[in-house]
Amino acid sequence: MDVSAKYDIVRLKTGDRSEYEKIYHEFFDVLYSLSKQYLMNTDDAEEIVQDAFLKLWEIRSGLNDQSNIKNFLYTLVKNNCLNQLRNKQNAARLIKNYHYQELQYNYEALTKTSENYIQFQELKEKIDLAISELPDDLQVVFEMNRFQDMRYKDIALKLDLSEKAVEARMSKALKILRTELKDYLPVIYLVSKLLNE
Amino acid sequence: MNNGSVNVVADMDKEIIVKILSGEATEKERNDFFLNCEANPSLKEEYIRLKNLWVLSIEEQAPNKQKLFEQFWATTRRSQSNRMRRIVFEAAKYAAILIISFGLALFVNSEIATNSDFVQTFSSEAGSVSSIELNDGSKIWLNSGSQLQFTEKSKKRVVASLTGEAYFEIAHDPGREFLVDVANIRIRDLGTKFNIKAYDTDDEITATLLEGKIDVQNVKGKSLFEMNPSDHFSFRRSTDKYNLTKIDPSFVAAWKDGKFVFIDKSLREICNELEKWYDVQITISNSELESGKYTSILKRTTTISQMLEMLKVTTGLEYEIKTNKNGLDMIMIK
Repeated sequence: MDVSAKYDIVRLKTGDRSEYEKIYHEFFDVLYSLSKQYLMNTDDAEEIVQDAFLKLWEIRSGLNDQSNIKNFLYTLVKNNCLNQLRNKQNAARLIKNYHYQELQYNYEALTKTSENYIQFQELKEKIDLAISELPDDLQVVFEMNRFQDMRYKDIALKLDLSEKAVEARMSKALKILRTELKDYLPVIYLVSKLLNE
Repeated sequence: MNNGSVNVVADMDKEIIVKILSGEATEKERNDFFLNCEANPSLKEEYIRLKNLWVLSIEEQAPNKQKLFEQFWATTRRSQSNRMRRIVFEAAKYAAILIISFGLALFVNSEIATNSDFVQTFSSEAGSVSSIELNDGSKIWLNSGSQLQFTEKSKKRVVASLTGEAYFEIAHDPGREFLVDVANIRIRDLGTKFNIKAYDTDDEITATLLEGKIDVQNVKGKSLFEMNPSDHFSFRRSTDKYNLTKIDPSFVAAWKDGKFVFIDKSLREICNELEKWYDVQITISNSELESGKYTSILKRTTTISQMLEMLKVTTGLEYEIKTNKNGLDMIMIK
């Protein structure tokens, strides 16, 4: 779970290219995607993510085993995006249209995100993996219910099972997934809050 | 349309939000929606909630990630000097040391370790030689791309974390010994001139004494041997073995006077020096060439192209310079 543990801090401190390349490839997309969505501009997004990695480079001598590189990068990107949104807002103030509000709402939305964002992107891969590893009979039921929005009754009809059997398979599948994904509970909690609000 | 007093957001409004988020909404739809939000806080809340959910569900990829990485990496090669220059200013007030420089001396970082002593980091960027004059009149020269930390205490002066090459002219002070810690060797100076070479990229660390006397100790402070002028000490990190020989030290520190002096050096060794000085990458494609020995004295102010041209005329080597997108020169010797 601890992402930092995957990196060789000593090599990061000494400025080892391959270690930076590894980190860059691991986090670039997720940070870029975040910035681009809120800033609505690819150039700004690229620049902000690039700056975050450069900052990591600058502080490399202060890194230690406890350093959370993921959170460090996330926090920098988030704060710089917020600043950039403020700058854009100031520029948009003069033009009387909806941009000013859109920027304001994006600003407010971004303040509500947390470093769980990055973990969620990891989580998506983990979920796909966990589902693909479910026993076939459970997997079929799970996908019909969750991805194709089929009710238990319809699944039962289609698979020629009793509704009770479908329900049992679902709860068994969920139980397995809960165990597989338990490390990600805080993230799941965050997302479920967003979904049910 | 809902107004502020109603908390439920109509499906129609949700659809507009999704259209906006996915970029399918028209200018007019966007305009109307955002104006509407101003009068309708729950609509705004819903937009913010769906926006965050939308962002979570998307992972966009930059099409040119590797190129961006190369740019990042090239910037790290350059950014060091800028960053250091900034800190120079901040740290200036602590400067108990006068920096004189005919390249670019960089007073990188100073932190107060205790009340009485503080650690100062000095470095010299690629392509320049820096020199530092200490309070007591001692002088240290730093070769291209080198860095060291200096700590002044009441009873001793300590140089640590040397990476690269440095030449020392130390004023002897019986009350305050001068120590240089490198790898797991400690050099205790007894009033001397000496050169130490300890590049990160090289396995071998060398120390050459030009004048005076130095005492080489292990980490525990136990004396290993004493060095006299012309003694050349080399230590291999990989094997932890050291060796003491005699050499002609006249040219060992020629670098500080702005010269490259190569005496009976292989082309690979020469290229290693050139790489550090010019911040370029040199590839020798013909392995027979690598081991050929050369002797030459060159001025460091010579450009890399002049240098290569000279090699070409004197040795018949062919070369090619390529500049990659990040401005880094790649040289191929054929």
